[in-house]
Amino acid sequence: MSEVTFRPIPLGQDLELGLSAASPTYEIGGKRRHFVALKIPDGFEATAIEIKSYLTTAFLPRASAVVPELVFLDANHRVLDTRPAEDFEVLREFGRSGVTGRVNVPVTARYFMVMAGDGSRGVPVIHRGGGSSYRVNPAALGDFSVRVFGEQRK
Amino acid sequence: MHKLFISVALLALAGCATSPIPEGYSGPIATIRDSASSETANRAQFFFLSEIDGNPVKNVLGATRQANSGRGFSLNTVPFSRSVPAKQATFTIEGKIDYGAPIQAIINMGTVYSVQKKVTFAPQSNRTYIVKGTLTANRRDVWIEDDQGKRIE
Repeated sequence: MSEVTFRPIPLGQDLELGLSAASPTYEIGGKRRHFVALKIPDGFEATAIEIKSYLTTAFLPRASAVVPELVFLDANHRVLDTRPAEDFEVLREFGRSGVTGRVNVPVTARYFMVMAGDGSRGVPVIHRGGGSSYRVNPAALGDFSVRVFGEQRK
Repeated sequence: MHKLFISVALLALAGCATSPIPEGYSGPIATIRDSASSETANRAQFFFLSEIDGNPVKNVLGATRQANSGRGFSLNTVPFSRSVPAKQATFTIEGKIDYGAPIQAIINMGTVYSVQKKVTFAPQSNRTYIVKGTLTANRRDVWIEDDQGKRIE
């Protein structure tokens, strides 16, 4: 794990990211998955991470998106926990279609990796006019943004 | 093509709301969840957060109306929650009865109960709060509970 480059995440803003075929892979649950690796800023205690995952198309019956799972690591790059994004809501942002989910951060986490979940721990549901509901298909690759919340350590 | 247009239009409209999380904010956050319950196939009670410090926020009533557009008299509620800064603020909460079609609300005006209240408190980091209430002829109340069922006063 120490050979992975962890990108610092800025505070107070969304960091635009994506999983592509060129992204590095990590084996979890017997499957290799693409990931992006991020570092929580020094002196900052992250409590929650909000992830906006963008739909591949605004035509909902065919829409898919990365359903994020986060692997949290401590200061020594030991895996602490794997947590899926939850409490999805429709993204309310002009010009982009997607969903926003949240993950609570383990207290001792200093790094995390974002990868695409397989949807087995829940997928976002979008309710559309006319009473139709659409489950977002989990995608292995796609665009998303990450924003971290928490407090400066005293 | 018609469905495609509706999908695009609704998602674009949903993008017009402002987030309760201010630009540049990196402090702790909490979740406030609205609640709704159907009384009949076309009438439901809604209890929701409508403003934070006087600023309007999206809520379950708007989300349900949007999800039911084009369905005539039918009204199926949808879940709704949002992240908010975990710091002291004044939350305007409301309870309202609504129908699938405005004409039904006009006809039943005498039983379209509503209530509004302001609650000032500091949500705690990573906690979930739920807006709940009761709307009957005799009692109209709305309140916020934490995830342990404790009422916030």
